[in-house]
Amino acid sequence: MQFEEILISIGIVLVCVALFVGTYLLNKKTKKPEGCENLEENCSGCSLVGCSHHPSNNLEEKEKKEN
Amino acid sequence: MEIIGIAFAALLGSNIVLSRFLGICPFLGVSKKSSNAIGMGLALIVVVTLSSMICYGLDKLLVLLGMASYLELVVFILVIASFVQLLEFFLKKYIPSLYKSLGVYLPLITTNCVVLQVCLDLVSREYNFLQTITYSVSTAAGYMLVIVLFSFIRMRLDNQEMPKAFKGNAIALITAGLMAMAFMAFSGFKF
Repeated sequence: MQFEEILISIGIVLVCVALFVGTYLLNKKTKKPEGCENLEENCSGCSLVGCSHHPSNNLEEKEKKEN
Repeated sequence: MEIIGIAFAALLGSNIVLSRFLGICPFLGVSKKSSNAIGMGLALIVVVTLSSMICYGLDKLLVLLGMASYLELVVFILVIASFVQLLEFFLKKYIPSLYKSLGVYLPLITTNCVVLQVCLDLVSREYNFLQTITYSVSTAAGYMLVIVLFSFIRMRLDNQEMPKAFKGNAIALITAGLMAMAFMAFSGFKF
């Protein structure tokens, strides 16, 4: 593999990472429409405990807010 | 005729959940209610179709640069994750009604391996653009069909009495196995 090819590969990956970070921040900063503010809280939870919406993942945050 | 064959195989004959056991986690997790299953299925159809079109174009670019063999996977993962974020932003801003109906299922799709597998299949099978769209729509529709049927069965199972050892995911997996055997009958069709 040539040095130029390595540089281009790293460049492509960095562009993709930057794209993800950009879209993530754009999404995070956008306000949710009316009536959708509590969608996560309304989620009753499925078997996907890794999901950020799962109630078990929000227990600590809720406890902090209450305290 | 080839297009019909691809569509039929992706939808029924080689259904991605029941013949390749991909996307099992959301399949079991989001099939407790039929309304949830429909929401997940619709969101998956949108994401799989659009992301596969993007990945098709990106793959052509990577092949031109001669980097497809080792960059495909990384690029596809990042592009799919970015695309889901972008779609969520777009729906929040411009189509709030659809955002509300898809709800929490949209971010969940990022973790669904069906999306990535469809993109990798397109590359390995060397599909053209029309075949790409047909395959991605049919695969996602097949996922939706199976998860909705499964949710109906699970809703009925909830009302049945059964031994304690079978309750929950145990009976769900047995049911999925029986469904897989039933769907195997479709693999005999030739177009």
